[in-house]
Amino acid sequence: MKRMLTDPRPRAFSGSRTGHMLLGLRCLAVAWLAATLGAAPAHALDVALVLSNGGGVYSLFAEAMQATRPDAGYSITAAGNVEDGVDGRVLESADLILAAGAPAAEAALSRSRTPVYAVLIGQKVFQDLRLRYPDAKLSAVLLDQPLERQLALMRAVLPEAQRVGVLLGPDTGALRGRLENAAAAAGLRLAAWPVSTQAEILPALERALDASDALLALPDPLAAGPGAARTILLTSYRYRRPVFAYSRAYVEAGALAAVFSTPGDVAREVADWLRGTRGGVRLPPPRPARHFDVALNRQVARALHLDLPDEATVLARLREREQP
Amino acid sequence: MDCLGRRSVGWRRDGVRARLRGRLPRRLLSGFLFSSLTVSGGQLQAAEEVFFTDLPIVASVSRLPQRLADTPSSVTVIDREMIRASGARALNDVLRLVPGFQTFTASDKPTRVNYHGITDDSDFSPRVQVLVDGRSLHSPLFRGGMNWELPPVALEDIERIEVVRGSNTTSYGTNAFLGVVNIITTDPALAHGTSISASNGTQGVRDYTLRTAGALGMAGHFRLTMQEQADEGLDHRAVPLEDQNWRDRNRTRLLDLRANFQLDTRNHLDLQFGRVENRRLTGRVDVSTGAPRPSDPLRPLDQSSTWMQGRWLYTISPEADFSLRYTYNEDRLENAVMLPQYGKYDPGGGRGVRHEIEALHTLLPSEHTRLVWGASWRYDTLKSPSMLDDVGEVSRRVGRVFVNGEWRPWAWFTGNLGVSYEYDAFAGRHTAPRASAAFHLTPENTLRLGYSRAWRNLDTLDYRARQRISPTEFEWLGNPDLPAEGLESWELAYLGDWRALRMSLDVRHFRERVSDRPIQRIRAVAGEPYTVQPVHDLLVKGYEFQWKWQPVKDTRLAVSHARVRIDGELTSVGRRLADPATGSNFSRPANLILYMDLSEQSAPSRSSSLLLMQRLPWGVEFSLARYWVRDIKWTRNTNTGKYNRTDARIGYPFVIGRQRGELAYTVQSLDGAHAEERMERIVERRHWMTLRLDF
Repeated sequence: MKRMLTDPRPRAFSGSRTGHMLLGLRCLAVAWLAATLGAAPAHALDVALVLSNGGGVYSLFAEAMQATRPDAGYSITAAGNVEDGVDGRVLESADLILAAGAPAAEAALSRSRTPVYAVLIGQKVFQDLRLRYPDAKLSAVLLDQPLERQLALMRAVLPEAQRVGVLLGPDTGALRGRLENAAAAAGLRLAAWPVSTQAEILPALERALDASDALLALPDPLAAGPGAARTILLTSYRYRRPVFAYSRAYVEAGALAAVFSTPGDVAREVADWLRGTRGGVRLPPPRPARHFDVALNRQVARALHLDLPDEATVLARLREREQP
Repeated sequence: MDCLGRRSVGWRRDGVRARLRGRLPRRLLSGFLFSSLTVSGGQLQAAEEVFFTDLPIVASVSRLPQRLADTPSSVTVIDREMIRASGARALNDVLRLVPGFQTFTASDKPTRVNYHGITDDSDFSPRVQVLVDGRSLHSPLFRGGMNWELPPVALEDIERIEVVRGSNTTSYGTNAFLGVVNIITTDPALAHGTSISASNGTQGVRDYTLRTAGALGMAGHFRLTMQEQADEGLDHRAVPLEDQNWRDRNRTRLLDLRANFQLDTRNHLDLQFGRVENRRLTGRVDVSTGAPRPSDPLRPLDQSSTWMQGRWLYTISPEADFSLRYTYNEDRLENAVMLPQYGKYDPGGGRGVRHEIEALHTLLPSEHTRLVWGASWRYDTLKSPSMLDDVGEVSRRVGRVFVNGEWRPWAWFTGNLGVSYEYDAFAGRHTAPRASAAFHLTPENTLRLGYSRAWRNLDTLDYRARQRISPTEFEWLGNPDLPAEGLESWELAYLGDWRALRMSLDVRHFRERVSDRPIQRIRAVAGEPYTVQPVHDLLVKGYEFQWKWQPVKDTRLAVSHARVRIDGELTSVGRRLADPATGSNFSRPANLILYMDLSEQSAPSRSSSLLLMQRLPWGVEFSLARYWVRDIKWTRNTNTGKYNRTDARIGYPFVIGRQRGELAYTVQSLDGAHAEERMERIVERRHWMTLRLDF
């Protein structure tokens, strides 16, 4: 396994084959030296960090990772970003590639056979990557929040709600069964409406809102993404039903509440896992971050005549629920 | 760099920060909005960015509704369902549901809407501000008031009507003297598909509507409505032969286009364009011969209103936004007659144009405070060959600044304070303050005490008219010294809001002191032309309530009641003109009584409404509206006795194959003939079927 992790097989994306082979051999030699010295402490995991671009959430994640103080068994090396160029040698020599965002994961998978732990991606993107790289060692911390957590937020903020409306788009259609189970477990009745084109959103939304006490916006680019957000929020005010969503931006835009994992939450998740690896890489299954945050919009609550608990209370209630 | 070519994150950090600074604003402000479809890199990136995409701030402070318990005035909200259920075919009829409002069925006499009476002897309503998406419908051509024959919006396109009962000139300017009818039309993003409808009924009711809506690119929406409404009006044969000197026929055509664009997460642009035109029959016939009266022959009256509006809303943050609105409005009216002594004579005719710019800044400076402040500037022109003879075009500039603050320091208290300062080129400078204190005794029970001082600047013609009756004689001359009509209003209101019971009750006691109420057609001196004179001071007092209840999901009930008493007395000008020594026509005892009656009896002492909405099996909607109205005086020379009226509607939404639609039957005045405006115009039962197909 150790050998595989430092597999120096060259890739065509940069430098000469020979150069890489030489570099690889050198690295192998260093590794062999370290291993044979024996007296050295357990191997510190070399983690290459590749970002999709150098800005926004990716740089926030990079900073958060750095702030996790990688002194307990792992070290992090920046391998650049997809927009400005990825340092292939860093990828090659790492034990693990931490890829932030879909383009970064794509770049890592296409250029290296090093295990890739993808972050800041959603379930749908992860599935697509999995299909395209069936043999790759790949896992992810998913941005999608567990349905149970989202419904628990609704319960905590709007205890009197009995019916939850959902629009299911192409990316979330497959969730229906799980959603029904989760809703039933949370004591909610589900009114789910499928949409496959933009034109179907408004009629489906009207039916969903008419038959529910609140709308749950799932991260589907068509059914709840930026193009539909304005329509969703305006219609929800028309029906005087609050929207529960999946990002802070949605709450700022006018949803009542959201539960989401920030780049910082994801970094904590990764750091927690890395600390437990003790030098070996056994990727965990893809799963949502255990760390999360909530946001509430008090202006919307006031307009909808709702009394909101404070964010800390809601967060504590949700975390308590997930305690093992 | 070590032997493996690694660079540490720390080494890169400054670089990351620099990039963050450089990229973040661009990405957050503009790049992500429609990234789901535009970002290169394909579907992979699109799906992911859903989680971190900035979204347009829809819940901007000015867009979110205020709680009724926090508003400085009583507000009646009429939603789409209520409009449909009311069975109204015209906008004015919807306002019958609002306590204290009066209107009547249009005939050859154009309809009007008043709140607490105080009617003028003209065809228009100047004391209640009417706004459609922020645009005032008051016009320099229509005596500075609203022409209810030209509603610029189809009832189907109204999202809701918020009627502010009580003076609000602080926020909405001089025409919001007694109240505001704030019409909010459906956002194009919420309109969908195409629908056509046709109505066919008695009294010549023939209405056709085409409505369509759709997307404009990735970030825009539009809705378009074309409507024609026609009827043969009231039947002259329903009144005694000696009163059959009129005929009635109406047709209104409307084009209404609204489009809006979410330019990015913070900038929203709303554009409106439309035109409404109306043709109706005016004039008189000789009762014995049926021939047109030469001085006022039967002839069409053509009037139109054309508008354009652009409104830019910039969301500074979730706690603050700024809007800038420009409105252009042009009104025309033509109703000319050829008079032998004068030539072409068209007293109501002409052209009025309004340009208006308004800037509005709404913000939440702290958790407990909400502030709205702004300024507007208006430029009106009026051209009326008969009323502004030898004057040409008259222009008028009006500017105002205003501020309104809401303060909620404790859960049990909401204070509102506002003041406006207005400069009017004709009426001078006026300051209008307003204050209210609401005590939320419990979350369900609120008691509010309010005070406001308001001014109404009179119409351009009141100041500048030069109406000739012959080449040598003037019929009416403007009175440049007219003071603004004043209002001092106190109110005590109770608001009960029982959400669990789905019930609300709003009771308002009001005491409105109106000073310098002007009356038209007064000769200050015998033999001189008519002028407008501020002759009455009025005390309007009473109470009104509205009760709404939805006992079960399928049943809604709305009840309103108003009791109004108006007592008038003469102003100092009135007392001077009442002196027979002046020779004024106002001093004649009969006229003194007539004019005082016009002031004091302009509101029914009691009026009530009831609206029942019931959803039946198979989606059938049934509704019943009942109105009780006591005696009222709409004009100096007419009276109307008390009447009751019942309207009903039943609608069946259907799906046949893939075709959706609705078949509806509406009846007005189910309980038969009665008079609403004058005893010489009888409103008889009118009913029609409507078929609507949705595509």
